Amino acid sequence: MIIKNLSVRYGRRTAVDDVTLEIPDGQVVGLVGESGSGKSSLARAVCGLVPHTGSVQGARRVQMVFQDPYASLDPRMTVAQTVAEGAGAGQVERLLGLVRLPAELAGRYPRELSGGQRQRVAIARALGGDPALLVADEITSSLDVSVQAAVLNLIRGLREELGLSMLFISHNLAVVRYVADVVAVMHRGRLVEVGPAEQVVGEPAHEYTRALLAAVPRLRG
Amino acid sequence: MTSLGAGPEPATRRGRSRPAGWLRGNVPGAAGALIVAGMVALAVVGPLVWGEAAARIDAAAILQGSSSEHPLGTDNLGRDLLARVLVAARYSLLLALAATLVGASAGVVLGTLPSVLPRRAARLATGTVNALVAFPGLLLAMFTAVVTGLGARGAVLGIGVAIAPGFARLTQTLAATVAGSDYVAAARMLGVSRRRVLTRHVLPNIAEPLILNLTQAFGGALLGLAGMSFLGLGVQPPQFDWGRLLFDGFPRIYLTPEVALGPAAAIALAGIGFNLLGDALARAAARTPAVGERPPPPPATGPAGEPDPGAVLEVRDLTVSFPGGLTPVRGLSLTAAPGEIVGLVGESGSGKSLTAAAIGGLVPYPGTVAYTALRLGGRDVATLPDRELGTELAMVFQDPLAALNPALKVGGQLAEVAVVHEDAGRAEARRRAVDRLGRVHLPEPGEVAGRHPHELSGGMRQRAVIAMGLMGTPRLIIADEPTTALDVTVQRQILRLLREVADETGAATLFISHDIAVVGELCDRVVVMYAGRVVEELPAGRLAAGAAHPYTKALIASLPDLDTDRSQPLAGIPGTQPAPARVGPGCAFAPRCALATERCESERPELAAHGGDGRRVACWEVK
Repeated sequence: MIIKNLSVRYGRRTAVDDVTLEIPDGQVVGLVGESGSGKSSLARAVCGLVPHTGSVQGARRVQMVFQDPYASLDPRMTVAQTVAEGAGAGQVERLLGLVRLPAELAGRYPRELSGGQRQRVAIARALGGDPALLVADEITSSLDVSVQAAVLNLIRGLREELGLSMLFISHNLAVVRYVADVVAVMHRGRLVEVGPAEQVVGEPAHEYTRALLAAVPRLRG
Repeated sequence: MTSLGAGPEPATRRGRSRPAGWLRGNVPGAAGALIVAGMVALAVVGPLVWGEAAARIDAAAILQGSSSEHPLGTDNLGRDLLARVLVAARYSLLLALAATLVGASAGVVLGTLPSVLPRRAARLATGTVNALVAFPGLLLAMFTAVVTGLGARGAVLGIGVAIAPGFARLTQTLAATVAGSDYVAAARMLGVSRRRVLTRHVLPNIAEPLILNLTQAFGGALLGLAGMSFLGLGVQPPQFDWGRLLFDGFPRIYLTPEVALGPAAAIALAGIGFNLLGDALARAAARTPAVGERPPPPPATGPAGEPDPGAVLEVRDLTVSFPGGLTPVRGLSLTAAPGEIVGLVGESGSGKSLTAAAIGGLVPYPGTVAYTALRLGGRDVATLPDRELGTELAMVFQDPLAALNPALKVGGQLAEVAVVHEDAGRAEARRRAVDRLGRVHLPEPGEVAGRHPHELSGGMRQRAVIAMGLMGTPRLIIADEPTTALDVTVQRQILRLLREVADETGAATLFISHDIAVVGELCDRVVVMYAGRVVEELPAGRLAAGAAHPYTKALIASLPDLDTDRSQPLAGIPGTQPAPARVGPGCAFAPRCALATERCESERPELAAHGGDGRRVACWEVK
């Protein structure tokens, strides 16, 4: 799958400026950047949720998982209804199993679930659409670190189990490095660096990537 | 023992018998409900009881005023007007109901059209609604009534048409909010049709406010219909509603005012009743239900003891509790020395933010705060005058936009601190504001002072809030997740600034964060909280290698950094943190802990010194 010369404009402001990015089959491409860099606009354009110019080739079925699990599930629908939206009622148990949620949760409403459980439901719903590409937009940034770890492990497991291609977006370089094969760095609407994860983190070529890396908080000692 | 109640003792206000939750303590709402109930009862029984009296023609008693036999007088056929007012309740209410339903149905259909139609047609529908909303309702009603023919039917349609645009606008606004939500975006990506999105997602989520609006619309329709009848456009004889009775009685108002005032009072009363009820319902829906039980008694605490001379902030046995047995902060103790940055770290629900709120006196009602000691600079905060607290304590929150008044310029807001707390002159306060903006490294501070908060970036706003804290002479700075909403590069700058401020002013800083890496980088000492208690305290430099408590270790292990082994799964923590009401007698972390023994389940380990350099840990398994 390849994103070719994609641009997103809101009025006179250009949020995404002529981005070309390949997402190889079965690989996770990590997209990092700060707020306003255009990474979420790019994600929404790939999903067809915002008008854009340029093309997204080879991605027939794209599904997305959103940042805020408290806003991305319909509060008036049960887990089963939500998950069945794309897949049909027969698939609910299989999908809940894929995201390691017990089948007993099927009848619950989102307000009865924790943040991590909600995010798993959102992932199950997206998997129900049998995606060729899964777009994950800051899916762990509103979760506690212990929950984040479990969701990141799940994402890696799903990728191995289902051979999913993924566009994984985060402002956290350490998180992106951990899950992605390829890392793309976005700054002011443009891609400034793309390369294998270890290479981008180990030998950053662009000045902005170096600035981002230097700002990542680290434990001393 | 000192106890700060955040409000009046709630238990004294609540008796044993509890009326429906939304009516409790709401006199207008209760009055509205009473009036509406009375009106409905009247509509049911009125015609049965007084129907005959209302229709009885008495040639001997035409056009009379008030008398003992006819309290409201009689009409031109000698019929008793009191009976006629009572009987008219049913017809008046039925017509109002019909008009409301017509208006609501038309409005909801019109308002949802933009969500189902293709883009062009949707724009046309939106434009139509906008035009109708701008059109005077009364004109719309009269026009419709004239076109559809005089009489009750015309009036009902007229009022219905007049109500519809308001409903359409409300529906459209609510629907647009839901249509922009992530779950609708997800449904669209899954190929769910627009019509199905409307019935499954949009309508169920907007139903509640629409239904609430119905009650108020009903009151409006009642008044509108009375107005139409009064203008002669509504109900025609021999039928009669309140408006018609008013119309018939009005010419006699100078001779026998009671014949017009009777129906007028009925209309007014019903209108007020429905509007009060509608208001009360809407307000109840917007408010989270209050918890009825009284808060648990604060735990017994020992004597406060002598102040710690080396500490700017001294907290001993701080407990924050809420009604219903919730105790989010349990017996927490910590100290902070001058120039020291103490990190308070924990996951959401650990009680770290409430701890900060309790120190700043900001625990929301109905929370209760208790402690053996809570001292700032050696003095009990409860005895500190507000003026001193205002200059000695600075607070920085996650959202700088919420801490700044959007309508005022930044410089003016900073200057206000000096004017209010220190009686500084305007010029002096302003000079100091510009100076402080410069001290937090805002470029061109004089120019920044003249800007509004929305003209600054997130990082600049957070600097301005820190500058505001520096307007006084802070001895303690409480920073609650001050960098969580910021980008990493900006976060780095703000962390550097906080360190600089601590070094220069000698103020102690309590830095609250969920991010143990940020805390480890900035702070001198780290206090780790779990389920309302401190589980470990250690120098920040020892976090990576010297953490002893299994929770601290797990927290560090679950955080990926730039050197994490990518071939291994991350070490998460199974399970979840217990809610404040579900913390058992033992160690709160035991159910998630790999080292837990039977003793951990039943007996809580106290925070005890562990090794040197001020390390403390609460765990049975740490030797």
